[in-house]
Amino acid sequence: MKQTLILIAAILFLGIQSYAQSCSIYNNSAHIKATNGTYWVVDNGNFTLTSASPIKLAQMANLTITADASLTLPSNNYLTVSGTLANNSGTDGLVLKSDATGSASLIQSNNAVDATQQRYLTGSSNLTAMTYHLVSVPLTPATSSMSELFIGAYLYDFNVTANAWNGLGSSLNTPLDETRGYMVYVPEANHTYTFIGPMNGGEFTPLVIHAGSGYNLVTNPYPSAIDWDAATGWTKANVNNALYIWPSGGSNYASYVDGVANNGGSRYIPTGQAFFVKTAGTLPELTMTNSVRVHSTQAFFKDGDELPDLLRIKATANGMTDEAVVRFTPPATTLADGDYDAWKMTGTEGAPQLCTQSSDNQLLAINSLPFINEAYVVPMNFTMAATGSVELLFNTQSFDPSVTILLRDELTNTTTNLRVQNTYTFQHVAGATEARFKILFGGAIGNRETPVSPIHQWITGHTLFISAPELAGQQARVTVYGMTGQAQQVQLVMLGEIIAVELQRKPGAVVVETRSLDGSAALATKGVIIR
Amino acid sequence: MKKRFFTIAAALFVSSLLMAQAPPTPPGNPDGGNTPVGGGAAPAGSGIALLLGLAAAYGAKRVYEARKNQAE
Repeated sequence: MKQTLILIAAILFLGIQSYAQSCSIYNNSAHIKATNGTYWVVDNGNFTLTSASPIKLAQMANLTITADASLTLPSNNYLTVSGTLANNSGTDGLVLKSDATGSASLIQSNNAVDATQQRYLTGSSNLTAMTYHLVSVPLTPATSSMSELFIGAYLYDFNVTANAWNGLGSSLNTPLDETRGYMVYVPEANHTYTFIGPMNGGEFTPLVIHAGSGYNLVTNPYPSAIDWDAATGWTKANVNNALYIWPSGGSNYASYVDGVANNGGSRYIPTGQAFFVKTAGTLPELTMTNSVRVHSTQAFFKDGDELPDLLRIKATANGMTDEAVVRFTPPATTLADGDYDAWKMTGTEGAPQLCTQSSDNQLLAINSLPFINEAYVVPMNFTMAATGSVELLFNTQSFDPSVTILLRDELTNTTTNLRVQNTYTFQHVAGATEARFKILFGGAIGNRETPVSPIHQWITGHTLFISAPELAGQQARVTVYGMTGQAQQVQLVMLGEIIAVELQRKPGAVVVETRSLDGSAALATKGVIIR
Repeated sequence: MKKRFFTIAAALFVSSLLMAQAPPTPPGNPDGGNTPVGGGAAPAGSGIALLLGLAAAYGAKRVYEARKNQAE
């Protein structure tokens, strides 16, 4: 007979633990008891252990499930066994549930504990809905897993050398490699798959090879989430620091690197999830230990908190979206950098495809750059198979107000001040050049110790606007420099709340310097324009 | 002319390098080149329903003809 015992963390630690030291807790004929204070025994029944918060999770030093007992952990419930988890009741003795709301999460230290793990996956009878899932086979590599685990689903592995998906067909007996990730498409609204056998615990090494374009589909092998940014527990040798997943039903890959995500990516990789990594050289190695395991409520990937000096660009068209991120951080370089950048992965046909270019012409979804003092131009590519209207939405809020951010559309020959107008709509024609845009950053980015200048300036069309209310009535010299550093225009102006200066109509990038005539360095500032 | 050739060649080379970096999108339709594990029932609209409908119509026609022959 199945009994339910609801154990809230506080009760577990304070109430039950102290109570159980003196006697067992009975729930009809079933009971759970402590031996020597920390050794929990479940016997004479089937418990459903409920601890529905990773903050108030059930924690046990050791746990033994006796041969005549079983323990069920419902979906979205959390259990940590810091010592030894012994299951003497076989695979039926420990059941981890999964449903539409999420999956049960277990962190145990020892390897090969028998269990029954469920995995709820959404799908669609519409085979073009792109409801693919990147999945793991959460059993130990010693298990001879077969494709029958995913019966009814379209099953794929990923050929690293060919950089291509490989359909595994209808056979029930295709051997699966537990050290690799797979992709499935469930041709119905949802299906709960069951993995019966020994769970992974301790050190795990997914298969990673350096071939093809370097992309490997690797696995979260544990019955818990893992933290890609965990302080300890990862060995990433010749493996880049970005991860990529396909969000089921989405139109573009989500990625995450060094605290930055796009398209809903995250540092937390849910249980049962597989993900892409990209190798950076020969003999790559990716190894994880129990230290990377966490109880995460991350049912799917979400954006994290926004970092400073980060420009997020979202393209919306044809009912689909794509995001690109440009971010400034001191260790990054202008080159494609495996530690700080995420490469652009192509999305669904018909979806907008947005990315920026590194100085070595790599296409990046997340482009990290070093701090700058004056100006920097980032090429931005856009492509889409369909013709239609496209909206670009820019989030510039994490930059200091003194930083100028301009969007240059080379096709329409227009420039937009993104600090004033955060959307830009344009007509895309299928087959048009991808290298259409440039983003121009002007001013000191990241140098927080630089005093804020009392002069602010920006350019709209052929007009330079200067705002310096603190210096109203003082004269200043405006100098416009070309790309070669040669002064193209010099003009004296009277500073005020806001003044307008007409610029000479010479096309090309320029740098504008406005300096007060009294010689005070604190009154100087710079901007950059493209005409 | 020679300069233009080299420019085009360089552009193609760079383009091919960039394309080589692009990892694959999941297939637009899993039914194209793959089948479900176990050969499971294909969803409505994938062609199976149409085949079943045609089979039923053909069966009904055969029954109708047999009865017609019997009556004659």
